[in-house]
Amino acid sequence: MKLRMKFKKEGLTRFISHLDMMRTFERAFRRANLPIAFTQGFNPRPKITFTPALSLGVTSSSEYMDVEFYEDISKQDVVLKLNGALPEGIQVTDVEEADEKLPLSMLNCAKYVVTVILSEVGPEELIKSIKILLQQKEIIVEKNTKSGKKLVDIAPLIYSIDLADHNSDTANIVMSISIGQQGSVAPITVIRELERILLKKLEVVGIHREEIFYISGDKKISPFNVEENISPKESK
Amino acid sequence: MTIEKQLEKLLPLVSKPARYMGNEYNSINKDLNGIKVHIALAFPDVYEVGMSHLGIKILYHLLNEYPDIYAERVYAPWIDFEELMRKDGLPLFSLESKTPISKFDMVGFTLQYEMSYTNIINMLELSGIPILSSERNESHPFVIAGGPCAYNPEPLADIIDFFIIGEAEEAILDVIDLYKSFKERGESRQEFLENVAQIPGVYVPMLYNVSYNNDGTISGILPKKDHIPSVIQKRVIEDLDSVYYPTKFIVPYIDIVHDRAVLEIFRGCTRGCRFCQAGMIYRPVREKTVDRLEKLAKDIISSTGYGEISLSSLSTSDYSDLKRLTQVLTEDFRQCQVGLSLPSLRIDAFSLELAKKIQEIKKSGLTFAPEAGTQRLRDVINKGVTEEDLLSSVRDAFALGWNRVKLYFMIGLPTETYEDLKGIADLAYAVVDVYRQVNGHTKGLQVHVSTSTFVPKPFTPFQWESQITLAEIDERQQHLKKLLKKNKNIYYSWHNGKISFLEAVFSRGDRKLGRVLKIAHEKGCKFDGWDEFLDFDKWMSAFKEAKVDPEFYAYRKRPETEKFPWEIIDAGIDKRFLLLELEKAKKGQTTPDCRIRCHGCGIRRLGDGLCEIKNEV
Repeated sequence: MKLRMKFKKEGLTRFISHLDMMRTFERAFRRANLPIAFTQGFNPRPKITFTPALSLGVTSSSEYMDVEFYEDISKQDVVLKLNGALPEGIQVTDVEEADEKLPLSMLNCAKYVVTVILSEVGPEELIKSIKILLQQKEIIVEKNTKSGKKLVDIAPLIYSIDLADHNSDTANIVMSISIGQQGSVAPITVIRELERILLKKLEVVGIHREEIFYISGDKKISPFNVEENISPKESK
Repeated sequence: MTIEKQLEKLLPLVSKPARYMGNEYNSINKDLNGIKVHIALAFPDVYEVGMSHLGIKILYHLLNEYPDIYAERVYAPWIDFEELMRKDGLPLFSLESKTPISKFDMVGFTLQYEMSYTNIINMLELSGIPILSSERNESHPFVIAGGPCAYNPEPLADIIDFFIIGEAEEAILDVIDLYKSFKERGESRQEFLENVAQIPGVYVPMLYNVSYNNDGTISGILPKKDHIPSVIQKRVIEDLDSVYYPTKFIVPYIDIVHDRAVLEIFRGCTRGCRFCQAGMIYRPVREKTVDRLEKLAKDIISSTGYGEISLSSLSTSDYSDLKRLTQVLTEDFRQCQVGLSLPSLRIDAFSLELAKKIQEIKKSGLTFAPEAGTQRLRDVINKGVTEEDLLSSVRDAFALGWNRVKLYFMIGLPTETYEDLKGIADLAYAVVDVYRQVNGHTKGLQVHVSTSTFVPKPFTPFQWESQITLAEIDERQQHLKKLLKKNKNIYYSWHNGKISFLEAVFSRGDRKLGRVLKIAHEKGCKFDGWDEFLDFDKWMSAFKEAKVDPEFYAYRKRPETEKFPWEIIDAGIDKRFLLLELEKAKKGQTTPDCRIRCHGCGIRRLGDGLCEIKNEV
């Protein structure tokens, strides 16, 4: 039986890397005494798949994982037991059967809220800079890869950027950007590009992943949607 | 700005922020209002090292069992975070409640190796606590220390207010009880120190006068007052099977050095290797029962979720019921995929069979520690391993499919000659030959030879011996390098000789070294046990400024009549026994395992029935 769980990663746990978080879950499942399935072979690993890695320092209310169990268990039971065994800051918020749902590896878009301090930059200026950035045909940035520095165009990786709301001190910039195998960009990279347009520093006080989904044309599918005509083969 | 706020700002800027954030599963949070004694348990090295240490874990959970005691953790901040802390004016804080260390009642350091001493000073400085004991007053915490290096407390005598010698599970509670009444009565710091000095196992250096002979050796360490003990006997837990052992270990987020559950199966060692301090100071051997261990193991796994449990001791193969213990545990953990790991295993047919079954050791290769290259020298150090033992184990291992072997040796052991160095190389080549005999080729074989330099340690038969000079260390390493480079299956690595030299200075040092430590710290020495941070020139100029000759401590062969700084401590081992062992070493005579026959080391003095070994001579 395979379950898809939605979880949040908040507070200090934002400083836990993806790899360390995977290990944290493996241990939490064992503490919770849940019948999770392991791979066969010399070095058995638990059968858990996660959504694409969250950058260090970013909180999220929308992480997902698929977990395989070697026997059937009730969804409520899993959530209750697992949450009792997780460290403060990581909590499962929802669970569904994973079958007939979009594979997590197909998720290609994430919505982030970036909170910046409005001291040197006013909201109008910020809106203007967002507009300028979105009008650029090409946004070339330097990216550190395993094989050294590389120039990448991030323009096609940005779906939208908006100034969602603001008060006298802070503003929330909401951006939907590409994640996953077809290319990804970090929210902080987008902020650095806005700074280049503004010629001023933006002090970021928080980055939060709010939603994660599959997007294709007008279609937007969340990991919990059952979407029959979106099996990997049919979605081109 | 609160420490939490400052932290939120700084954590995104440092490597591995999880080192400083606490909040790990099973870490303990308490309301500070109900706390009578607040104690910081400090490990003077980085988080990943400190979090791997069992002693601190035991004390942390033991103390936190008491509702009015709160024990928290603190580790040495890594270089990058320290820089930010100093720039931002962030004082050293505890991981749990983020309380500045200077606000604690006590700060307890564990002394696992001499090269961490400058980190202790650095941590005190980052806390805003005066470095010298004499400069602290009623507003400061008591700075205490324990652990193996506390068996020679003298180099830290100016810095540490008091030491707890030996196993601390009971002694620390005695100290805390006394502290509670001291706090209630509002007594002075001095009064407390004079009282704590009367608890067995506690050494308060400032209550003693040290006098020296003209040649710089010690003539006496004498208590300043009548009621202060003239010798401090180590504390020992009599019934290890029933002593407190934690099960809700903290589970770190980041990968630490020993990232697994730890089950301590016994203390002490009966082998009697003459260079080994642990084998002497942790006597006598006391085992836990299989039933108790099984229960602990199950509880530990269910409360930590670890996927691996390690059976910990000085010599795991010597556990009297190892076969049943490993059977029981493999049975218990089969379903939930928990692996067993058995460090410090003597490699023989049985352990290979075991290793194959639990599949743990295979990944990392097999490690053998013959320690010396020839039978003559192995007899001198009483390492009861023969070349035939080693080669037949290696043969079995190769036949079972292993192709990586690590061989550990020491260079500079007493009486070592170039013949013995050649013996190291001969053994390595013999291992290659065995592989060829078994497999018909040497493809894929890796024989890793590693040498460290012998450091004479207090309370061992070699405490009178000298260390070889830095020049000799270099020569012998180069010689081995030449001997070993002819075969491409053999890989040779060696420990930094300069670190071994400093270790030799501090392990048998006296109070005069306190000044050296302070000056070395002022020059920026820290993390000295880390090759990349050791700045030997700074150390040498610190010795010079303090007018202390390091060679006096490292190179000098001591006469039998000399009074040692560490003789203020009674480790339970008679000097007479150590001298006898030294004599036998010089004659190349071995002493059998004391499970076979008691050799009268003196440990029985510490309590009737304490030592399980029967048939005393």
